[in-house]
Amino acid sequence: MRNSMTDEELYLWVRQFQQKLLPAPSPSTYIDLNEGPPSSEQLSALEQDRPPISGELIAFEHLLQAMAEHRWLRVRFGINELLKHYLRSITGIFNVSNGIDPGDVTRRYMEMIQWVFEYGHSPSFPFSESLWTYLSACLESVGITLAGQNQWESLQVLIVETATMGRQAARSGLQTAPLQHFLRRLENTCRDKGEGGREIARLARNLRFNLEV
Amino acid sequence: MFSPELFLALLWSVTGGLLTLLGSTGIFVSLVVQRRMERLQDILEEFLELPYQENRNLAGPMVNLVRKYQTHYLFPDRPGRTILFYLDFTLLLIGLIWVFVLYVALQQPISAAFWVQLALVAIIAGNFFIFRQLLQQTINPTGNPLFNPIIPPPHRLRSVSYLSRYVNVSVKSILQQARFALVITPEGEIRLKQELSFDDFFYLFHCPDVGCMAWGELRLTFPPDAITRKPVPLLRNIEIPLGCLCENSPISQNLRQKCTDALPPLVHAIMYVFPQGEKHPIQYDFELEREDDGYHSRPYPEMTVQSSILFQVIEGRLHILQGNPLLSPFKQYQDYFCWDGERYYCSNASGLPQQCTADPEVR
Repeated sequence: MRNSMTDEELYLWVRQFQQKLLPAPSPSTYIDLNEGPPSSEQLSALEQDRPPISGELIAFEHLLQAMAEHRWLRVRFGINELLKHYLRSITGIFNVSNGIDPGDVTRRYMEMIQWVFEYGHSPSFPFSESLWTYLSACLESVGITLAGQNQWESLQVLIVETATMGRQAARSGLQTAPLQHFLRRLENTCRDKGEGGREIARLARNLRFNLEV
Repeated sequence: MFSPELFLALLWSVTGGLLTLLGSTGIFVSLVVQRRMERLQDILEEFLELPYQENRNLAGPMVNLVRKYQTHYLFPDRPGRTILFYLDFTLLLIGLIWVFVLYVALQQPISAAFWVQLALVAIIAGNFFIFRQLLQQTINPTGNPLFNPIIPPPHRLRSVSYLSRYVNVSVKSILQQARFALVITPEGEIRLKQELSFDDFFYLFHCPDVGCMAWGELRLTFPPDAITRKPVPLLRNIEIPLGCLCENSPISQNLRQKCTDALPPLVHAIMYVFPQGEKHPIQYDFELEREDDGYHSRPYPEMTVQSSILFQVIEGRLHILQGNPLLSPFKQYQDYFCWDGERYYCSNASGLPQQCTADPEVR
């Protein structure tokens, strides 16, 4: 009886997570001091300033909470949903090409993945190793999918960010074999796909050789 | 003009004094040399302790330690050479003085006793020469046969047989850091990938799904870098061709493609690694999955010390003392199991063994 309760709970959580991920309108006038000094006009219109909170950021907040509670299954499903949502949005952009930069979108998602990874690195998180193994497996699938669709710009951001995480993981003694495999596979896949692909193959090779140095 | 007797006495005391000085500098020299040897042995010890932390990714630290070891090993030895120059000069001076004294003391006519005296002098000179060589090797303790067993050259650190035979380190945990992986390329070539290039072991490889066998001694030689002229003790991401699924005949690319097309989606392969200093081989169980035309093994292959196989190396040949049933596919090839640094393969069960001539490469 109790088991079915938790099943239901987990299912509900994933459902809610998926719903939160759905895109929400995000105003672009928000002043972020992180991005440079604001002008005086911007400062005088501070009342209209609303932070650009998108669906994925809200979902990310929930993911962090699940991490803080050490709910490993939720974390797993959350990461999976986040990356699936990313794949869906990036393929959407590719088809419509409505002026959104796929590199920017990738950067936004990879930033969140990086935060998740950083949190997973803290000594209080008990599933550091599982998290890293899961993350590298998921990122491999994402990367291979992007390569299949010739999304070079996104792929470049993805592998550079992934390799940064990989270096950090290697420094703390986590295994990088799956990541090496991913980069190698990507190199093989992209080599015969035109100039963009060759560039990615070169980058992947370089990142692979510098992963643990 | 000095009086000859007194002058000879002076020369005697000078040689005695010089020898005493030589002896006292020897103490300082040994201090300097000791320091260098300690440094190298510390790094060596650190390297050998590393693999005991299993399940951790130590590839980076291992490469760094080997590089550090090489740096200290190759350090320019100017002080050593200067000391050696002083040594040679002093010994030459002493030798000259003695020759001069002997010349003055020479009395005509030459009798039979002279030859005995001369033989004695020759033995003494020879002894001096031996001691000079000993000092030379002590001052410069790297790369000479006297100290090689204590301070091995850096490339010995990648030799599994050396590490298992003399240093008694866990070969399994060392090889774990090498992270073996297996690839079957679309052209039907079987390649062993190593992230750290450990070598100097015998291997048996069997892939029952494909009917391919390979065996041989893996010995890698890395020439010094062509541009920086630095020696290369350890390489990353190396691929070693083990054999070919198809016969090594000049067939077209299309035909070759077919040799992997007929394979099932999941292929198993077993590899045994025989390090010279052990008695049980290490067994690798690879699971290869089809992935973009070729086959790749899953990360972290199952790795066990196969205690039901007992082997011994006698006169450069591998003798299986126990556990032959496990190695039954190799039965007819046992005569070929010699440690000659070559890799052999056989693409189908009845065929003749062929030599794999393709060179390992960094990829």
